[in-house]
Amino acid sequence: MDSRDLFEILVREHADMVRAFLLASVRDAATAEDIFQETFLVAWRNLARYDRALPFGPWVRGIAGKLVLNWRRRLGRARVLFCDETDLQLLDRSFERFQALPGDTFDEKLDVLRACMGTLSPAQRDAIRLHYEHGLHCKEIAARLHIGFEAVKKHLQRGRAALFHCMQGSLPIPDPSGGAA
Amino acid sequence: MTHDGHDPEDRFGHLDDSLDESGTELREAGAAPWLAQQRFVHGMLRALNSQDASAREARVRALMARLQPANGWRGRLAAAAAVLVLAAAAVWVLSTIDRLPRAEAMVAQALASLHEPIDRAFELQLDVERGERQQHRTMQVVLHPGSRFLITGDTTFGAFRAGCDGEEVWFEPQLAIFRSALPLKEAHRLTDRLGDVLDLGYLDLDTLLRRLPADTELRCVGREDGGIRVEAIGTVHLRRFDLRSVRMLVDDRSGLLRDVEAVAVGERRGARVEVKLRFRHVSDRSLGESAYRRPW
Repeated sequence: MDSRDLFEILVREHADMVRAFLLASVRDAATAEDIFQETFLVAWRNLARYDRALPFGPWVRGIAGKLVLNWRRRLGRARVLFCDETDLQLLDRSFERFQALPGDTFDEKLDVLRACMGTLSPAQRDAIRLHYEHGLHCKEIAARLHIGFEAVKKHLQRGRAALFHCMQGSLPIPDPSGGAA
Repeated sequence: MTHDGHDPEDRFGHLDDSLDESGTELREAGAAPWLAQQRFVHGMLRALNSQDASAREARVRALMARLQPANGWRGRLAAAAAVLVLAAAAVWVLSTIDRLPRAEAMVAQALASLHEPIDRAFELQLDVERGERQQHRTMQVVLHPGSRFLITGDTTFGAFRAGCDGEEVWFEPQLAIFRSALPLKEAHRLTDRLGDVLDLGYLDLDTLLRRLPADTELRCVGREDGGIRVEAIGTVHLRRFDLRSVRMLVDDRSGLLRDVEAVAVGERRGARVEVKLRFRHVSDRSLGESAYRRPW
């Protein structure tokens, strides 16, 4: 087995996590796809610098984070969410804890999130399903549910906070600040 | 506007730019951890709802295909020298025999032809198999450089027109209340709604021609009716489909794509979908840019 085969194993192991990390930071899936490819190309070119005593996930997410900052400078807020190094570190900490969840694959680890969906209020669950499953924007959800735009945003934000705390409660994901929310 | 509520959604919600572009970059003390939580769950929910095994495989394969050998400069120099020697030998061999042109050259010629500022009209025939269900569709497609296209045809819901002016994709079914338009980068939201027969991934001849040389092994298999028949052995991984068995007839003088056949295989809501598609060049037209704009 040569270095390329070994690298492919690492890519397969970490691809979903890196993609989720990028989907947390950029607006459109196409940009996430581009940065995903660039992340692993940079990792491949710099493989000699990777310290094998350390886990691969944080190293490759670190590369992804630097690329997100570069793309943010190049493309602006229309494509990449606002972030600085502190934001990316806090985000990475959550992904690091998520990595420690039981389950061999990313999909198995996502079972916790699936289970937590059941703890949301009906309004939060509807808003989250319409936004993330059906791809509707907040304005479209507002029209569909006959509520205001700001109310939709609040349902989504409160729903996401509830999901975070549910996952945190059942698994070792700490609040990024290190304290209570 | 004040943000003095008790819960973090009231205090920091206006800073969140993951739901629209209204977030502000002026951060308030204590906001960063809440924003990181929101972003984390946002990313996880997006990942959860966009899981697609074939797209994942395509992503990894595309990446692996782009990896250059991780050798030092000596290795690269040796490889370059070997390529030069092989290329020189190949040129000498090719110059001594009368044979078919190189398939890569034919594909490059077809790509250049597709970039000419001409409106190329094709007939597109689709045979869709999804589980037990089979459908046959015929559509008229006009392509123009710069991601401009027009499509007329029918779906399960009736006749429709669709198009793109290079920036916006629009869809106009018979019932006007269902017409819609989206930025080109969000076109998948439109095609996802339209079912199996309309996926920009496999309607995009330009992308297909660009990817064929890297993703497949190309070969010219013979001359037919003034053109060269080119076959691609291998798979081109697209967003939702894998394209296989690509065969095309390229005019050997103009590079015009006269005929393209392929099989697209994918998965939709747990069921395997296979689409046999055939593009046949019908005519060249002169429509002008306004023809591609949203008609309403």
